[in-house]
Amino acid sequence: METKPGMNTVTIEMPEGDKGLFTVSSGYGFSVDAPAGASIRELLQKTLGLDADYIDNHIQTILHDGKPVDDIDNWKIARASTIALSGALPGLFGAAFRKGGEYAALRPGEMQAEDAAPSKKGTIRITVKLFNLTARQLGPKLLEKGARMPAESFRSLWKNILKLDTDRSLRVFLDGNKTDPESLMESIGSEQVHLFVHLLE
Amino acid sequence: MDKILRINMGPGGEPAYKTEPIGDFAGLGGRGLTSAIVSKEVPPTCHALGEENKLVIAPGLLGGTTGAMTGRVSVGCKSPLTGGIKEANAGGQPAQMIARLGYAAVVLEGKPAEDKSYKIRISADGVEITSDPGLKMKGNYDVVDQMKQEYGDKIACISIGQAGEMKLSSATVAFTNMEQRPARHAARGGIGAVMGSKGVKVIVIDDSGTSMRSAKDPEKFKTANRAFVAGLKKHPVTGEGLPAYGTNVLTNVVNEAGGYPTFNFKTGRFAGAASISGETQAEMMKSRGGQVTHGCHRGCVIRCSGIWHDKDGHYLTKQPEYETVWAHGGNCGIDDLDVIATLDRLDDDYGIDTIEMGATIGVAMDAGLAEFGDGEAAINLVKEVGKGTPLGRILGSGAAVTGKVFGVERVPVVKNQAMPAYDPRAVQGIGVTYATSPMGADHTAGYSVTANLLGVGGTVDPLAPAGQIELSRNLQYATAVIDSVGMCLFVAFATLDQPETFQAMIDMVNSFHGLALTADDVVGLGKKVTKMERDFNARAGFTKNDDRLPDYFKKEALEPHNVTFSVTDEELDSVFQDL
Repeated sequence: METKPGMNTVTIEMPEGDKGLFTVSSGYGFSVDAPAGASIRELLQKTLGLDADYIDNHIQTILHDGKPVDDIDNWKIARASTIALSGALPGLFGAAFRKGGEYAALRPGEMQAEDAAPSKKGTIRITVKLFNLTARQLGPKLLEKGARMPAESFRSLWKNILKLDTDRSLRVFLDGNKTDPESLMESIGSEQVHLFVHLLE
Repeated sequence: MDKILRINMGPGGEPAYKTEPIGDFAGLGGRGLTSAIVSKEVPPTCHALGEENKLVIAPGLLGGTTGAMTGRVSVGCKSPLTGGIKEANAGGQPAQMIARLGYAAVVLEGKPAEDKSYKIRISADGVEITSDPGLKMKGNYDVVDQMKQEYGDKIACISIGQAGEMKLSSATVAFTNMEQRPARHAARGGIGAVMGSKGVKVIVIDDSGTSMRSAKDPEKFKTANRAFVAGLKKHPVTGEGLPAYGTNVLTNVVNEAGGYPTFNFKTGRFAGAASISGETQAEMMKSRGGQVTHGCHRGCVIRCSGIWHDKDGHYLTKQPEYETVWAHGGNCGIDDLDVIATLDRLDDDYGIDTIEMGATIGVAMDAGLAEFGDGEAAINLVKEVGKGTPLGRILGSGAAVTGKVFGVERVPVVKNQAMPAYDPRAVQGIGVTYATSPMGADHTAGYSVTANLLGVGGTVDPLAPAGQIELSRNLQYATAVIDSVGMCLFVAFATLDQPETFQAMIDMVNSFHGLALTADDVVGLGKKVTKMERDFNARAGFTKNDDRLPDYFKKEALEPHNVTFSVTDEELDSVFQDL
């Protein structure tokens, strides 16, 4: 189907016990607007609303455009880019890419360099990916408020959601109108989707 | 566990067995014991499939006890894939049962005069060795079903599938899990081919009438075990991440970091990663009535495995692990977890190493035998292996052979063994371990991250250029220790961060065996095991030129970070200079 500029709104109502959607969807990435030049900590606290304890003790790995970040107070985000958050990870990879970990030497040298200094003022678009436990813990709050994602990513996500929703317990609305989950993908014509997920009592 | 069972498959035309005291091998278990026996008794230049090679199956030092995480079993031999020494280990039930029967190791020796399939039953009553033509060319699942019918449901099985019988270099040895399914595999290095060369199709372990092994100091052992379990449960990796998502928790993050080998190691990111991630996998297992968390043996408290059901809600296989999902998934451009689970089931049934097979299919796709992303074609290629067609035998011989046959330059192997799921250009320290491990490219060889924390073996400046060399060496020593104790390597995460958990592990060994080992002694054991293994390889003809990654890792930059493998040959040669 031909896409058109703008944004479709997709609202999903789901039973409270079925929170798998948050875990799966968060890994595809949501768009948020943040001030250019903000530090990673400022982004997490001010834009995403995370508290310091969660940032310091639960988020174990942070990737900025795929580069591991150790010093979240001094690593600035100057341009549209992607931030990924993860809980604790196993293996040598987990040890090497852990925030401030002792095994940073196992990464290539190029990946230890900090990002460039901010080059412009104003607002930039950041894609936030929540992986594993951070998706489970942060996803519900984020999606209750609503989050944007490219329609292409949403289509890929929706394919997996349909596989998971075997008892068809989800209720789906497209731009406020109840929609058949099976035909949702064909009905989306915009480049962006604004996704809301509400848990039913 | 003070005796060794030796089963000679070839003297005078009929198999025979004897039991002997553990003797000079006392104090060794698991990998320490398999490597000691192979190093001392197997001529390094022998043919891996010949009568002089031996297959050693050994529980760890704490096998058969109530200790948590102690159910791993090591299998050692000269590898038909690498030509060097090999230890591969697995979970499952047999380790605990072999240990309770009092055996520190079961050693298969010699070679039968005729092409027969044998089944061996080991119990408290002794050993029965029987020829059974009906077992020939059966898959692991059918073999185990037949054994259950013959010997009941209290047994555990160690078996090979068709690949082992055909003596293919990617063949595994299968171990049954708690549900008596042959889903746990000592997979790497073609050890199943060595079992096949001995004519042994299945070993049935029956520990009826035995009990848990007793510690020298039961109270201290109990206290240490309790502290160890508490340490595992409170650590975020072993207490949260692994139980929730299994090892496949890594897919999304390794991919985001640009270290996920994709399309046969051409790039570091796979667009379909989210569809095969641990997060998606866990939710699919839940929605189909599978189990998201499951132990691979009794006594496992991490429970990083799971049970995968097909679309109709029926058991298909255990939860494919990260390396399997990568090998059959992103490496081959396949983003369908049902296809990957089907490939995992076929691998387990035929008895094939999922990492080697996935890497081989990637090479085959590069050769034009199938398109990247074509799941059905990948399934058909694996079925060729099970059928034993000429193409299947080539593929079942591994990535290096397949690359040679089809003229492919990009073949991701070290010492002929396929690399696992981390591109060494993005995680250079893993590349050091791939290159220098005596086992060939092996992600678990340097998995255990304890040495730096404890200051044993000297502390390392992680940001110094030499940091990854020293880290890799210390990690390889520490890993050899955990493999020798018979513990799951995943205990390493808790012992990395929590000195009291590492101490609890040492206390378990000491209180059980009446020893007084220190942290330095423990690292010394790892060093001793590694030295034996490297010495065997040197006598088999290996040189420093075998401790190298393929050239293209130094020349071809990996996207998205455009990095090459930058550790020099001189640095690689310095890894084991202290041995």
